[in-house]
Amino acid sequence: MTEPTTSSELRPVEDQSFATWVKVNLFSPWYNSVLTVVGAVMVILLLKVAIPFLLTAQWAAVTTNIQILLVGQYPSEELWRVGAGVLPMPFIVGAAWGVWGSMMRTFSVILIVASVLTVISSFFGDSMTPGFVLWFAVSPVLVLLGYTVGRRSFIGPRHVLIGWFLFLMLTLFLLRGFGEDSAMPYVSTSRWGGLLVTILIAQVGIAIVLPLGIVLALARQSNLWFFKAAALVYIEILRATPLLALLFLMLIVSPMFLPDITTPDRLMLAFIAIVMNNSAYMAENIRGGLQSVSKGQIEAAEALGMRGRHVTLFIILPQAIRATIPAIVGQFIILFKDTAVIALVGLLDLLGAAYAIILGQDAWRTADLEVFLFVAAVYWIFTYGMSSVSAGVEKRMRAGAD
Amino acid sequence: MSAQSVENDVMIQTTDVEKWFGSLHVLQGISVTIKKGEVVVIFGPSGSGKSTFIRTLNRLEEHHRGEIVVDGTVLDNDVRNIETIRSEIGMVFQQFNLFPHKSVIDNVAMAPRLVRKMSKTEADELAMSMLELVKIPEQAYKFPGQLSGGQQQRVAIARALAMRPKIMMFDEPTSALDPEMIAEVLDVMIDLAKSGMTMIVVTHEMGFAREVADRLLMFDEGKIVEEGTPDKMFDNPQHDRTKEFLSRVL
Ligand SMILES: Nc1ncnc2c1ncn2[C@@H]1O[C@H](COP(=O)(O)OP(=O)(O)O)[C@@H](O)[C@H]1O
Ligand SMILES: [Mg+2]
Repeated sequence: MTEPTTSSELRPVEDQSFATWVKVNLFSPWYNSVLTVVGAVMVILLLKVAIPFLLTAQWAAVTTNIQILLVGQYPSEELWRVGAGVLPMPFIVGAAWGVWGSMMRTFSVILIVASVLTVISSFFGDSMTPGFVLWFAVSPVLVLLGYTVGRRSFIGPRHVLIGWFLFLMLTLFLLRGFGEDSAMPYVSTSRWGGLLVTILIAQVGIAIVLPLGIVLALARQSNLWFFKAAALVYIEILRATPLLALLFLMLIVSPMFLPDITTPDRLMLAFIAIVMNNSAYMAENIRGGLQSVSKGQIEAAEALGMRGRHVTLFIILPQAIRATIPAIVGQFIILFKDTAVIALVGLLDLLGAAYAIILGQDAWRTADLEVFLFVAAVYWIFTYGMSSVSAGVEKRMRAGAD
Repeated sequence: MSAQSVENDVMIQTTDVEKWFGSLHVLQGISVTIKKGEVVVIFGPSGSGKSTFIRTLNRLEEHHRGEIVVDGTVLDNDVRNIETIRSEIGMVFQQFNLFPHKSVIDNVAMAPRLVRKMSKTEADELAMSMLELVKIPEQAYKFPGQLSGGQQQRVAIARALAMRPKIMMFDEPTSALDPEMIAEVLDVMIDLAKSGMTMIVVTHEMGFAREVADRLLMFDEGKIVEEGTPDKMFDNPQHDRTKEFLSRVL
């Protein structure tokens, strides 16, 4: 299909001097003049702040503290466990790229570029241990290796998902360790931190919130009054509660339920609050999708003799999820950003680590902007990766619908 | 022995079936007997209860009074009976209702796998042979959205046939099609009728009715106002409503 070519792009260009181009594009009609002037003023103001800042920025605040930003206060002598635990991730990201194609490419590119930049920056300072540098040097190779494996015809979405689940379990297990005098001594979650905790919590959260949201949405539509009522109460209460209020409530309430000797695991509490809050929203997103499946679909399945369970599982749910993917990914992005509440229970997730650097060390007190810009950029890169997945899925669905 | 064989000859028997939508009395006592191998065409004005009637036969709608017996099974609230009857009646809808998230072959193979517990290879083989029957095996790995309306409706027929039903019901199968696609669907239905399938077809394609119908039922306001062979109905209708309606569609 070709669009009719009525647009102004095709007008002859030979008589367009710079002055006429400016006049046509920036100053007519009159409201464009206003926008141009306002825009120019904003750019000038921004540059006035940005140029002196960039010339004097203390990026050393970031590079020197890269370890705390990446892994928080995880004991240095146990860092190999983090490296080993997270090592499968680039491989899985690459495999996802191989299996799902271009819509998963952004994450692979991000990982490769970030790794290469990290390795390069390690030449300009000695703040990174050789182990760190080695990890980032290996990661691009693993992405590409994962990609070639993912391209194989016998590797499908199911394998990637199973691999991802196993990876998450293995990593959590490695990070936690077992007894005191084993080869892998127990490391309290209060020492986990940095980007590590942010992306781990986000991934485990995503892995739990989607199925939980589906179950809640189905329960809410159920004919059994008990399930229906329970789901309704859960969803309505949690949607009406700010995440922070829920978190503080849990901090106060949880000691009442635990034996005196144990202190509540604050990371776990924050995680539960994030999952509860997001699953309520997820359930509502999915419910919208369930309602969008037409009655004719259900009748066709029933007329074929399919049982209710099969109709739900194989006809309604797949279509509902497909229709809801943009909202689902949107919820994943919210969940990812919600992990920042971990900082508020005193743990050093990415945001908490930033606070710790600025408030904890006199040398970096003036480098707050640099540190927070870095943190914001990291959040942005991940959410950008997720939006690009969503955009890719939508594009593919539009292609399929024609 | 002979009583038994007469019994077995009846595929569907309805006795005084009545149904209401709220206060609307949509079916006002429908009694029909359909024998094995018979092709029955139902026609009549829009809103006369044609769809509702055939949808009561496989419990997409519940009837409120009267009795429905399909191949010896009484249609009541017993889920097992409903399942038995549904697996014996194939249904084709005006809007096709194919599963858009499944490929054509998966659309056809799905119910045999889930309901008849066939293996994937078995069901896929069956699906391919059904697609050959409706003359579109080459579309097997496309998705419904990539097919024309006529092709989609033929997939819907293949999907229903894959359950090996004893009866096929069609609810205005060509009404949503562009005129140039109607023939390809009717051709498949004519082949099916000639193969001896018991069929109930709601349609206003009177050429089709004349060619393959054994019997026509004229519905009006929830009742059967007249029934008979195509020759009798088309050439010598008795009822004024039938005359008036046929003069508009013929
Ligand atoms: N689910 C429903 N709820 C309420 N009224 C309905 C419903 N389905 C059909 N009707 C009404 O029942 C009558 C018969 O409908 P239908 O069986 O679809 O007629 P036909 O197929 O002959 O056009 C119509 O008046 C229609 O509006
Ligand atoms: Mg109808």
